[in-house]
Amino acid sequence: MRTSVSESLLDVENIKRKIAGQYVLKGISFKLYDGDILGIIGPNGSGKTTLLSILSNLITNYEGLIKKRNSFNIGTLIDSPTFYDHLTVKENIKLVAHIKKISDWNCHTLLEIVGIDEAIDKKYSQLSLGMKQRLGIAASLLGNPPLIILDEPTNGLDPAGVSDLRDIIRHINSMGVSIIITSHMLSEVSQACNKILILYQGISLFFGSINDLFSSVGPVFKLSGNTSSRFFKKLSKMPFLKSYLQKKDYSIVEIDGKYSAEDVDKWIINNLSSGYSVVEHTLILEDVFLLIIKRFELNYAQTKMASLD
Amino acid sequence: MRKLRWLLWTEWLILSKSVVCVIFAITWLTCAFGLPFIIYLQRNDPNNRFKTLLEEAFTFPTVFNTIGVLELLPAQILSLFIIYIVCQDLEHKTYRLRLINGSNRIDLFLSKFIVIIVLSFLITLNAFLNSLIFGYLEMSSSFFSIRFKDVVLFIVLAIQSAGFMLYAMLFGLFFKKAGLAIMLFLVWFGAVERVIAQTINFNYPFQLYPLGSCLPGKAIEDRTILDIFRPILININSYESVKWFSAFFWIILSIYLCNFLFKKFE
Repeated sequence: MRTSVSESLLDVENIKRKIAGQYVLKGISFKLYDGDILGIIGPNGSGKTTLLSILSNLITNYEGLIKKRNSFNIGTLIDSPTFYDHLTVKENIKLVAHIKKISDWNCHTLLEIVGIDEAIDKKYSQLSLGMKQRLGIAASLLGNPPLIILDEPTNGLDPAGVSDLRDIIRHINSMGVSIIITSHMLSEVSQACNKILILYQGISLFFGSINDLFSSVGPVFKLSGNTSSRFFKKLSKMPFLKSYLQKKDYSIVEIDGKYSAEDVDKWIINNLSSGYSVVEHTLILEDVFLLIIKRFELNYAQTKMASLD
Repeated sequence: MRKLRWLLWTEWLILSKSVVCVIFAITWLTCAFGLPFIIYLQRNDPNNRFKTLLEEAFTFPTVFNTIGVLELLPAQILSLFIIYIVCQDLEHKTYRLRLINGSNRIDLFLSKFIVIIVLSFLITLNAFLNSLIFGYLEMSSSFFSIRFKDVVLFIVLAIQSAGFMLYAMLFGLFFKKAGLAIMLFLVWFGAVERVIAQTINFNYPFQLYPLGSCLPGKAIEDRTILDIFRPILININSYESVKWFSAFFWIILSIYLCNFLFKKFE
């Protein structure tokens, strides 16, 4: 048995998934409580959709444990919505109700929540992408699941559509539904989610609240000046460097918490040519995400080098 | 039973609104009545070399046997329909809608299998009704007589048409694309399986049965497949057992392979 009862709404323990002899998920763990909105972020191929597919029952061949409180069904919108083109919105909802074996449901109320109640008699093939996404969300809400999964629901939507979808997600959450959402739009994630899971190459690099995520990053400075690749080669030898980001005209440097801007300044004067200014930098989620990934890559490279030595 | 009812309603909702479903239904009904009707019209043709056979073919109770065998050919239209609906789910990934909403792969297989059962029931019912129609039209023999072996013949027809449709479902699952699967099914059904059955030098009856008669094309040619229930009813001998075994072997193998292929599409 890989699914059992949990105190938290969802308790995912050490999930691994192997494809063609290689692990694409390498021990993912997290807990979700009532009312949480978890944002899963990571580059393409990091295992986000695989993880969601496991949670949604699309993939059953995995290692690890998923504990659900009261063994509820999870409402899911994964990849792009897949409904029947020749059926109307109402018929598609009815179909999902049949699949979920639900006899007591109100199509109009569901469609009202996602704002497509006027399209109730339209065929699925006649809907815009945004409306299709909304229909997918409405279908995932059938049966009042305490948790829904939305895999990149903002994909292909225009800014107005993204904003509308954010409002819908907040509205659904206010109804007491927990949500797991993946997105490449980090600003959206930071606005909508209270918890973040960062995946990279199938590894969980961070799980916690947004505040914890920001505080997990050490002192960060912005270095202005010539930031050539030669510069970064030298910079990577800074003993208290934890991570850095290469931008067009500047770079962002994360250092060990025991050190300060003065230490960075001194090291640069001693080891690099002059012409660099070190200033404090205000982080946004995108910076934090990229710094954490770079930190992992640097650590991985160091470990590999050490093992070769 | 409750689960089967939900699965049946789900399939009904999808298929009842489909234009393709209506086209297949009309085509099948036309052929299912048209084919025996054309042959019925030829029964008094003096130039027909099967005249002697046809004179008796539409009288009670022989008409059950005649129509039972003839209905196997239009049943192939429904085999193509099964390929179509299986491939549509795979091509448009609509099967995922079921998986993410709590169904498992066995349910997926079951839902299509239920369609097959319903269709094979409809084929059998249609064959029975056609037999009555043509029997009444002929009225040359005793009025409506049916023997136990004719009832068995209809049971065999139902199992056989379900077997053919399962076999078609395998094509759909394997090739995924409806056009490709239907084309290859027709090529196989029309030519390849007969070539295999006639080329491989097995001893009789293995040459006919394991490779040929239980597959659609050869089965229509060889109506003795309809006797597969005889060993149960009369006496078991090795020759009949081979036929009996091979028919069920293909059906069970088809069920297993369909289920296996569904599991592969995760």
